[in-house]
Amino acid sequence: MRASKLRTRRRAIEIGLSVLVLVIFAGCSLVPAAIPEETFCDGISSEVGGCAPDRPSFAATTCDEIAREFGSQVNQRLVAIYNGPEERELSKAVRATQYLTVAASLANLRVRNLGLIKECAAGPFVDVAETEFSDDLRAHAGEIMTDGDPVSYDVWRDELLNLMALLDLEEDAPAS
Amino acid sequence: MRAPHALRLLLVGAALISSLTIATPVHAEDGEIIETTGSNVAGEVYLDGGRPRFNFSNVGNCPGTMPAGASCYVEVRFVWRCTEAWCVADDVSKWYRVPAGQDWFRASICADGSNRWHVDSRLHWTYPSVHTVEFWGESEFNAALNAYFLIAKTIFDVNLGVGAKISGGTRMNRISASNAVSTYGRIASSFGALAGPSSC
Repeated sequence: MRASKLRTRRRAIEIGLSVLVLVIFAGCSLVPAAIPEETFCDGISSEVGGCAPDRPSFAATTCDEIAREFGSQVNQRLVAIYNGPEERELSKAVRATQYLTVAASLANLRVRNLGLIKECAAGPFVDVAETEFSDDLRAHAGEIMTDGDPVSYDVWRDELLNLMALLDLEEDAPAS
Repeated sequence: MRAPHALRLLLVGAALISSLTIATPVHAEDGEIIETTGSNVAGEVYLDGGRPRFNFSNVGNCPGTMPAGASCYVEVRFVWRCTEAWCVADDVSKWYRVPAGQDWFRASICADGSNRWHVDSRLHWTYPSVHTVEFWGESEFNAALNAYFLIAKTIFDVNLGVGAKISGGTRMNRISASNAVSTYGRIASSFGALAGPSSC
């Protein structure tokens, strides 16, 4: 009788342990890692920082003032990225590119919402924005433009000018 | 006699769960969002100075199917996994930006030559205003992995009616945005463990 009870108890423990191991294994394997869902803010994907609380913002009401706000914010963030630590998911070049494009998209949106799109052109906008760029940015922007070889400030500026062609195209398109 | 029974139960359960988790539908050897000419482009990952490197067809800027005024940036990341049977999870590198027009990329990380390596790519784009963009793909057989995989191949701009859809293909993604990244696709593989040093 006692031996039979012991066997039953041992079997129950074995089954219990097996179920426990299976539950732990299943828990580790089948529960997907939390993947943040992509959202869009003002037409900009959260994947590129479009919904980040610290994304660029614009309050100015003229083209030149918006350009200065753009230049100031881009300068501050890109210098911080250059001097800051690496991050796990995005290289410094990807982070710098994302910030630059989000700033460009939001500046473009501000210009269109104010009805200034036909007055604002990419060339003069970049000329004004450039007055806010520090020596630090001019010295290092080309080092975090891509993950390839560093390029000069002039090459980086040309790419910025191409990006800001947003202001020269689809001038009759709705703001968002 | 009881212990082997419990062990069998455990093994059957583990095998069942493993079969569910191993079949992740993300492998493909070519992702033609970058190369949009319609050819099947499969790069090969190899070691260069102990670091993983691959060659591919980089269009240089936006694919020709994207409208004027778009800016595009090609990003890649490395994915690796050990080759033993119990290896079921990938490790991934950060996303890197490839210089426009550069048909190769070498990561700054050291490659463990005993791992199997892949490369994913995606396209970051900006438009002057919100456009609805579709990514179209086709299933292709991957001999190295003995399976079919859906591969993103073309972009179609719904607003402008430009770009390409794939007849008989699958619409993988539809995004309305002025600034976003594409679905990523796998564009290169080491097709097995890399031969080479394990450090650099």
